[in-house]
Amino acid sequence: MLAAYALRGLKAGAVAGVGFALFVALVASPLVAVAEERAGHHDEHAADGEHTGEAAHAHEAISAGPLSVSTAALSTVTNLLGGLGWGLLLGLGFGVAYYFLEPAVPGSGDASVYLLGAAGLLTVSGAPWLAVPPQPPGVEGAPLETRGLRYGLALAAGAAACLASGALYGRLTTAGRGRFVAAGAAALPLAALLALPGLSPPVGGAGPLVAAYRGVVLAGQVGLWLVLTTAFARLHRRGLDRDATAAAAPTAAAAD
Amino acid sequence: MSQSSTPASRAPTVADRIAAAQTSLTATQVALGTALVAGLLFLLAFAGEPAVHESLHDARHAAGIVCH
Repeated sequence: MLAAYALRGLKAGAVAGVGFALFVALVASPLVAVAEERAGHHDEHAADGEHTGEAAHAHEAISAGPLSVSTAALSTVTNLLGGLGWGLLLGLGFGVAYYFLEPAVPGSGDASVYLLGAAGLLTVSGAPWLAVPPQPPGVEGAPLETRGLRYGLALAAGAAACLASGALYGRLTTAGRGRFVAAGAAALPLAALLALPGLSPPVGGAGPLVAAYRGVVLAGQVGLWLVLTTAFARLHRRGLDRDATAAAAPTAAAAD
Repeated sequence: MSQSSTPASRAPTVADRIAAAQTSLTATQVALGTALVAGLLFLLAFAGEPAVHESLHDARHAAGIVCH
């Protein structure tokens, strides 16, 4: 049964991943290129010049035997695959998480899928972004390792807050409290996440380009999770219908 | 696979799901899933090799994963 859920998650992740890959290639890549160009004009740090160097290398070509591809085209392909991979990873993780948490998630049917999807977005992206806001290339912050560690810790804090929130809601509703009281109490662990930006030093980076960049990144992840959960809910409903049909007609199921 | 191990008389719990997962999965399924997740995580989040990192640069930025 877990395998069926994981497979549904993987399928939904493939659908969302294709969409996200297109978003990377058509929206994010051009914006990153603009930010890199800006960064190249504004500061001339030789040590941080990987991005400017990359831009200069963009016209080179890799020739491997009869195949000759420009690095720009190759980079588009690898980034498309990267976007697809991100969708698959989230989809598989979501399918497995939904299998285990389905009995505990408030709501039923599609509503619980969308609710767990919102928790997933908050855990994987929302909480970490409070600690480490998405930065366009060229804006230097703390070292990569430090930011990676903060991202991981904030992700764990987000997961813990979502689980605590769900558990609190479950306890209060089974204890006979009203749904609104329970929802209000369940919002408290999530509100505690708002302390995350205070724990890490403020990072430089203001201005319209950074704001636009963050908006685009946010929109991309919200869109990814919307497609993922919509596809998953649809596949899940179809799977349950099939199970019900098989259970109702065991002789027909045994025949094939 | 479609048969749930919980009796229909009560709603399933998280503990039931964990118990069911421990008996219903084959070693191949576990290995496949673990390999897929580990591979994707390594490629997308942890690989520091410049060539790998550069080739996934835009995708990482678009996903809001930390990037230099």
